[in-house]
Amino acid sequence: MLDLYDVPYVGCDARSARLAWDKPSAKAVLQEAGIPTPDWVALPHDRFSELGAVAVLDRIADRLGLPLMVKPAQGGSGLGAAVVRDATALPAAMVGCFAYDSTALVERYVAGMDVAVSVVDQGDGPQALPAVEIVPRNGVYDYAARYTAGLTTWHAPARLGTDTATVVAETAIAAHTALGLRDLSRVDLIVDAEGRPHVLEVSVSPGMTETSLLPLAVQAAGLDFGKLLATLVGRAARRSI
Amino acid sequence: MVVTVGGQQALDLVARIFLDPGDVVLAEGPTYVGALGVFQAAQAQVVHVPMDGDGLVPEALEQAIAEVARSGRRAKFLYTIPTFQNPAGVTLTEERRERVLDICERAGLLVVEDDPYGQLSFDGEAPAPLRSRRRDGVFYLSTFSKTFAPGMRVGWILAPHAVREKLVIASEAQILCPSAYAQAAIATYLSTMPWREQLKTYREIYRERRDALLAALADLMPAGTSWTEPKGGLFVWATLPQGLDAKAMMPRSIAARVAYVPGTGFYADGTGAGHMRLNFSFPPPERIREGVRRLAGVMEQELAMRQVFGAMGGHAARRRGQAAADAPDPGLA
Repeated sequence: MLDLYDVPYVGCDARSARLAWDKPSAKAVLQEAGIPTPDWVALPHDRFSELGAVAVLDRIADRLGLPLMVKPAQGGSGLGAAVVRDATALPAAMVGCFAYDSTALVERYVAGMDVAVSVVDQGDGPQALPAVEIVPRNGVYDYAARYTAGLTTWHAPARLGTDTATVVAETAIAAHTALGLRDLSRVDLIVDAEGRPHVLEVSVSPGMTETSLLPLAVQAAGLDFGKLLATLVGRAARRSI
Repeated sequence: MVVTVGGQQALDLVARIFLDPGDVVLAEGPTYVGALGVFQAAQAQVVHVPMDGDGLVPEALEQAIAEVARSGRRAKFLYTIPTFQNPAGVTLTEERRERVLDICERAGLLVVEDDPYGQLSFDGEAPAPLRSRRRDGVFYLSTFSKTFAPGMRVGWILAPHAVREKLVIASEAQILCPSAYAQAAIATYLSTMPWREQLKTYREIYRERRDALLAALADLMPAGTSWTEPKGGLFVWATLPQGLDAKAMMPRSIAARVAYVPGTGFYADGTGAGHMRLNFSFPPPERIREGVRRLAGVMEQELAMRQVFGAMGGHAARRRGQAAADAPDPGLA
């Protein structure tokens, strides 16, 4: 709509936004580009009734192995998402997920450090800001952990070794580029015990509130949040002329 | 009489005067969510007493009083909405009113009677309030929120003589005094306008909406659903088919653009997932029918989903089973 009316805006175009918003599509693009992302299957709910849920769930658990992460193919804030450590909990997780979307993404659960890397492009190509480490008190960064004060602590920059931090930053920039994003994004990753990053998803419109991750990263980079936003807005305005 | 800032301040005052941390409040299960909040803030424990289609079950009340006493705790009062109960919609019968009062009198238990809806009866007059039968031992709380305007925030307490002054002092400490402007507006309304006629209009509007809701439920709800049939007030309490969870179903329902209050909000102990409150006061009859049509669709989808994924052996299923066993099904008999 903004393009249709020649209104300049910060961020990627609608096509890329749609691609990034749909997690299975985004993961396919990432995989194609050689960027590590946990193995997954995406299944619309009506396939289960056709094939028999028990058989399909058994096959998923066999193929991907436990534990699993179940989440709606689209949507954010951790709503409808669940970690499944035991196959008997999988049906309930699927039902919970299908309350939010008609397609479920089931992926291999990768244990490790949750990090979010904000990527910004101030005119000299996409740059990764310092990774922010997320430590949910109960181990899972779900809806409650995101929005209840005190349930999560953050470390900015993340407690990563220099080499790992470099690999994580490069991976985030690669994901941003592979999805055709522009100006800014936030790449959510897991860094496993061996220091390897796995991209979970990419937000094209990262949160900007006082407690959001992008502002934390900006602060950790020693940048001024207002000046950064002014630069991004200025670039967007010039782009339309 | 003590004038308060709506029924909510009335409740808060009673809680402030009587409740110490750890005290027990007996209340219908389910009960008004705003009362649960007040009791929780006072660090009291709520013990729910089941209802059926005739309101609070006297035998269950006796049993609850005895159990609380046996556990060494002290019940301070019974909080009850005997007429067109929120959220269950049921009304305590004449015969049970006497029995409940007798039981409380014998146990030395105060009664806090919350009566916001008594004026909104559809089928003849509602039974007389508990307070009209026992002046001592019963606090009567009411409000103009449902008969004039909720935004006026004017309510009142009729208290036993001995504690009236305490309520006034507590209220002064809290708010000095309720808005004189709002009271003057209501006094003028009551003395110059045909408010009794207005009440009749409200009753007719709500009766038509209740009828529309009950008819739509009977026509459209999936098998296994049941609901109460209120004779006044604003609410119907629905019990879902076995296995459905009103809270888990909420996102699907929001997507279908129909809303309800999941039953869990009306219990202090987290039970009630198998129930929902339906409020028929605002939408006109045709929108009520459309809402029920959407809700039935959501429930059919959820049932189909549960069918596909089979018996859900996990914790969720056990919790639901537990909730169903604990929660009474008012009006099902």
